[in-house]
Amino acid sequence: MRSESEINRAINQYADMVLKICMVHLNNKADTEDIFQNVFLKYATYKGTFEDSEHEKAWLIRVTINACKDLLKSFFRRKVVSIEEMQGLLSSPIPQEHSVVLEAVMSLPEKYKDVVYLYYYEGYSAVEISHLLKKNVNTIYTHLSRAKEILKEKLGGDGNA
Amino acid sequence: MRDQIKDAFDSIEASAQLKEQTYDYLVSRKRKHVKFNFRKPILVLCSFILFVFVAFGWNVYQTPVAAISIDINPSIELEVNCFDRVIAVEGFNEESKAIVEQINLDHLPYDEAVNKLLENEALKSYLSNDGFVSITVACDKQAKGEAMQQRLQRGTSECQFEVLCMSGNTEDVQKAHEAGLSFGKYQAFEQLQALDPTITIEDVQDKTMREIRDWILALSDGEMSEQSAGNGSRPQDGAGHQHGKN
Repeated sequence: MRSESEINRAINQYADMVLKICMVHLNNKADTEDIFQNVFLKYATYKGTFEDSEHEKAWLIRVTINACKDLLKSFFRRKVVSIEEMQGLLSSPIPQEHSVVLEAVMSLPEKYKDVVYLYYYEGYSAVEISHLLKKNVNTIYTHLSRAKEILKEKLGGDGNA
Repeated sequence: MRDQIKDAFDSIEASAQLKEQTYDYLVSRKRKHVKFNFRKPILVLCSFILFVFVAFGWNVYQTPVAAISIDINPSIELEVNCFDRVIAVEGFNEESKAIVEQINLDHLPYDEAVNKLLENEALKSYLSNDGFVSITVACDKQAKGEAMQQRLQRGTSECQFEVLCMSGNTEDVQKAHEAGLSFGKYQAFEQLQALDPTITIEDVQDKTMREIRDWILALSDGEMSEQSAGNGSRPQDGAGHQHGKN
């Protein structure tokens, strides 16, 4: 198991990112808390080494996405709640205008959520996302384009990146 | 849209409480994990020692150190381990195989097993009124063989029929099995052959121990030599000379 200082650094560095991915997929406070803890538990018990911080970050993104997807397939998944009920996990409440955007992203089909988050927020290219999600790059482009259309419809605007 | 999404996600920040809670959970898991690390190898080692001990013990238990041959015709052999328990029972002809299937002697002390066998109605039916049972002990350790023989003599002293206890070693057992006889019968055959070298295994294999015993006594007394002048050296089946009990 990794040292306490390593665990502490990872939590401080990646807590926001892990929480964002969990919220996009789960929409449930208890499930989000569980996955959040499990992701860092996996990190703490992971015996491999990371080449650099980018590698470490990509590993955490993949582990979080997989953990969320596993939970979504699970019978024990709790019911979806509104974004307001997730406030207890956050350092400050989400302003109304941001809630609208987040809810639009959360309402996207599952397969588009990660692509949107990784492309628009984390700034990964389609090629990088295809490596990260182990999917064909053309599939990523297709998902991005369809997600853009849905978001444009919901949020308005031109949808330009 | 990029800015909208970026700003929206930027507003998600994990609370200090969530971080602390997760850190505390992981640290407590880590401490348990460290403690468990001590227990696990000890548990594995104990299990391994127990496994070796049980496997070794079972191997010792299953290793025969002596054999007891009970011959009437049928002939039955018992394999005995170092704890004086019966670990295998073998019948040497059809009749004895049928008896062995009826009666369970596994793990009994050998004297108890012999008595149980001698009390078996099916086996008793092969003993006539002047029934004769040969019990032969084969053991490479002479002292143990003698002790077993004495214990069997004491254990069978109240039998209604005549019991003769003899002893041998595992080499005798091997020779007997190669000849297709129980070693009790093989030993009797060797005695017979010493008196008349023309006697073969085929001559004795279907005879009862009473008949073989009487034949030995007849040859030893020299009576057979008188008869052989006119009739040959072999008595007819079932018509061996009766010399009463020893």
